[in-house]
Amino acid sequence: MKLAHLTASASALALLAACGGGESAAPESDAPAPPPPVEAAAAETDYAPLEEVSAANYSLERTHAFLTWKVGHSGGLSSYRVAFTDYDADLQFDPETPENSSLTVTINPMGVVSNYPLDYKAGHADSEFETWDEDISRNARWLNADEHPEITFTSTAVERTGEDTGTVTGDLAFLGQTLPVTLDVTFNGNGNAAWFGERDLIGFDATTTINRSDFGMTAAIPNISDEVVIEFSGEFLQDE
Amino acid sequence: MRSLLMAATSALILAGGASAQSLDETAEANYSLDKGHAFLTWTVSHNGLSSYTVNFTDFDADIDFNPASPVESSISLTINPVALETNYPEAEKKAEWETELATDDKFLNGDEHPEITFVSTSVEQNGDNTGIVTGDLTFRGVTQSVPVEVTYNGTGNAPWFGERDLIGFDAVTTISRSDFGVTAMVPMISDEVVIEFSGEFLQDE
Repeated sequence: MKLAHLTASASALALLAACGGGESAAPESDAPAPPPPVEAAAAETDYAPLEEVSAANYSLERTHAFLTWKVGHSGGLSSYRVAFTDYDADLQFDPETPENSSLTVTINPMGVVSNYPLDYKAGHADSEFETWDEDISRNARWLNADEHPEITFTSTAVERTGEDTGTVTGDLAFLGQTLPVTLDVTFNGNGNAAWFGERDLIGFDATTTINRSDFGMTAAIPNISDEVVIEFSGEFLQDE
Repeated sequence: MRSLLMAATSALILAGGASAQSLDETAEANYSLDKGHAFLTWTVSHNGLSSYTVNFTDFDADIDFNPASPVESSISLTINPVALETNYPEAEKKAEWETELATDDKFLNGDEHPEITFVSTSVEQNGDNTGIVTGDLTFRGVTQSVPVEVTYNGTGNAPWFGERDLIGFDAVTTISRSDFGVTAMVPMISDEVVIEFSGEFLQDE
């Protein structure tokens, strides 16, 4: 039941991906698969190189990038959605052999937006914090930003799972723990914007689910889910 | 697309935890949005490269909920279109951008149309916990019938709310913004807008 609903939701989002004009839009799935490239001696890849994309370093285009995390609330009555607002990422992208690409992400846990609409002080008279967002960022029960002022992700391995999909495994350092985490990544295409000249602009979606308890954050489980779904959609601009 | 399906699958994990009660133990009553646990976003595709998601931050909803016969339930929702959160990274430009998005005639035109409303006209159940809520969406002076896919996530109680039930829902729909006269930058910014909600409603006293 739930699946049907969420699948419908995902289908709706797929509609969005099909819109607009990325230069190298993904072929429709009913199109014949392109022949494997001759030079694909590497057994791990049966997929064509991503054409018309520059092998280069790319930096996050911060005005078109969203990074959120969601937890289940009240034992699953609703999903609680918080956005990170201060983070950066660098991508060394190899379109010929995407497996050789690498990614680093740095997140400032002080930059969160929960869109809390109520009077925080009225409901949390004893709190040492001024806002719910500050509570999320600084409370030792949550992101504990005073003690751990950075969350980082450094890729260690990239695998291609389809023409435009792959997994990026990396070390996630959070709350003093470093654990391997695997992101499911979709390459959305390459676009160019007149104001960026010849520089390529490439877009990705990524998602992963972690258990926050693995990083030592156990407060309010299971009323607030142990599982945290992390989602990204955004663009990267080729460095000059 | 695969990634989006995976995202949806992983989101499943968040639901179906420890919700205390089922539909037949839920009070037939009026419920008001628990604004501290409610998220309403809209997402458009930016040049096919990324999804651009904006939160509405000032909205309210009331449900007249009939758990024995959910199809007899009704909902009304009111959104203040000038209250937006874009997560734009630079403070000064963020304010400018959110004002433009909220008030410009090309976008939400909130000064001229200070309310977006949704009033249900029919409810159809298509699974134990799922259904379609069809209603009149009024946006920028245009009213159109829109079907919304809804999932009931369960009923819970919190000690600080006493006997009052708390019910949770997810909802999603896709509209074409051009149907409401918002045609700026189609197709670089998609005509399709995915609207998503997840939140809780508290039984009225």
